Amino acid sequence: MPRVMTVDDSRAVRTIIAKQLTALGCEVEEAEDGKAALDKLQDIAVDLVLLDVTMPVMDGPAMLAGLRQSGNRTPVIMLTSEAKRSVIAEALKLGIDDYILKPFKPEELAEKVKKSLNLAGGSAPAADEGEAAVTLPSPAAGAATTEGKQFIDVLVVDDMENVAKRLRALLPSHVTLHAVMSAQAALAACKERVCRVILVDYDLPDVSAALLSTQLKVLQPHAAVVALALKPPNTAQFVSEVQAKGFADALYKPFSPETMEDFVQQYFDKQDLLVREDNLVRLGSFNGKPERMERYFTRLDSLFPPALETIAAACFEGVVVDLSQATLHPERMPRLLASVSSRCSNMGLRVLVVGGTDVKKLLGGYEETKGIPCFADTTSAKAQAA
Amino acid sequence: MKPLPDPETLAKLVSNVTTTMLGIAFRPVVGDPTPPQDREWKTALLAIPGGRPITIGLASDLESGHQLCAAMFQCPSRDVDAAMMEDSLRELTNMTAGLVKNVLSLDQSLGLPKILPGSAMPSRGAPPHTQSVMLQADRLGLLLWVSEGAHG
Repeated sequence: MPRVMTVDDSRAVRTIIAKQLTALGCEVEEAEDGKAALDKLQDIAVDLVLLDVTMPVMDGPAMLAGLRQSGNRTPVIMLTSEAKRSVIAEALKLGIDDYILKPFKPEELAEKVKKSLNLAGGSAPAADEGEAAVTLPSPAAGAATTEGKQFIDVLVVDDMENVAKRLRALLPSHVTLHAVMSAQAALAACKERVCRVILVDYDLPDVSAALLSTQLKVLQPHAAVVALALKPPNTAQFVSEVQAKGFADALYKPFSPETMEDFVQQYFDKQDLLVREDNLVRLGSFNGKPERMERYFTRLDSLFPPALETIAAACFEGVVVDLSQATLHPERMPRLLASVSSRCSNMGLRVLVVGGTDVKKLLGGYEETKGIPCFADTTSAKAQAA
Repeated sequence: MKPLPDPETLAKLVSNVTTTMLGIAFRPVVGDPTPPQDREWKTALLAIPGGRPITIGLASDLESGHQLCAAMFQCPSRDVDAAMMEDSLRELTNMTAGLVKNVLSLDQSLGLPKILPGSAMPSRGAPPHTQSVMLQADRLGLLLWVSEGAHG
């Protein structure tokens, strides 16, 4: 059962949150200010902290700073009436996962908590608001304009309206998309919503793409900000250029179904690729074209660190990696496991693997992985790694 | 500098808070907006200090405060005590103040809300330095005001 701490000087707010989180199956701890929270966190570990900003004795930002200085990386969602940009930007720098502005709807709180805890159903389509913006609902997502849902999969920032329409036509229906046509509207949208990917026209008129990328990343630290551009002659050089300006990657116009398939795999199939439950990490399989196999492992490489940090923070002795569904590339999988093993060793975690004889054989073929114990089922492995 | 929100805007802000958190929609009182003097009132004040100091007040009569508190704590009305009522009123004031601050585009931090002693309706200023609105939802009544300057 996930344990969540709510830190708020208002007993009413703590009560509302406790009731909602208990209904989600969470165990709830309460603290009335930052100092009380830090004191409690010396004795207990939690999976998530919901933190108010303005409190007596010790406010939210001071508590967050103290928490991080002590090496505690527990995810934090800031919950506040304080929409002051500098407060939120500072909190984002200190490593909050997300923030919720009061007043908040129960479904918004539930959505963000589930997302942070990796519980089922932790994503939702977007609301439609903002004068300079247009939401392009997915054909199958009837709730795409439901009020109170603040999560969107793709924010498109492009002054050419047809770009978003073309993207909408090519993206799967479950991927929600919101389009704005100016930098100002993009920043406004990013204050109101949580985005997974932000596509920014690299040639937006009168706008520094690098500056806009930086501003968007402050507001949306967990979003991938991707440059939208016409395909250049040298794509490798162009990707280096945009990455130097703060973008995660580039997506080229005009879009093709193949390009969009890659895009969706890269940013929206993550939950299937790696799913964590307590100290069990299940790897999904790779179903794409063989030439895209490297991307599968690159994405797994990037998904492991936060999962391991969560497991270490929960004081498990070991991490169980279930490979029974994973794609067992003869070189890439051992390399991935060697990297995971090394990272775990630094964090004081043991690595145990679940898989059949093919997995045992694969691990045994490499010096770095042959010492990793392999179990036939997750129950036996978890018993060794509790 | 933006002018203080008019009564209609203030009403929407409070109702935004109470509808979202409690499922109770308030509307401005039509006609005489003077708060009834024969009731006992509980009042919370919140200051937003800074370059343009603002004070926000939210008052409820005792019966309304009781019912709002029960809705906020999601508990039977008989379980409500004075501390819970004050806590609820402070939090509603805090949330409303955040919205007022946004309307005024103030880049200033919210202060902590505090409950005024006594049960009389506190005196308030008049426009343009103070804007106030009396609100009701069925038998529930609230008074919200926003003033230029630090008060209370």
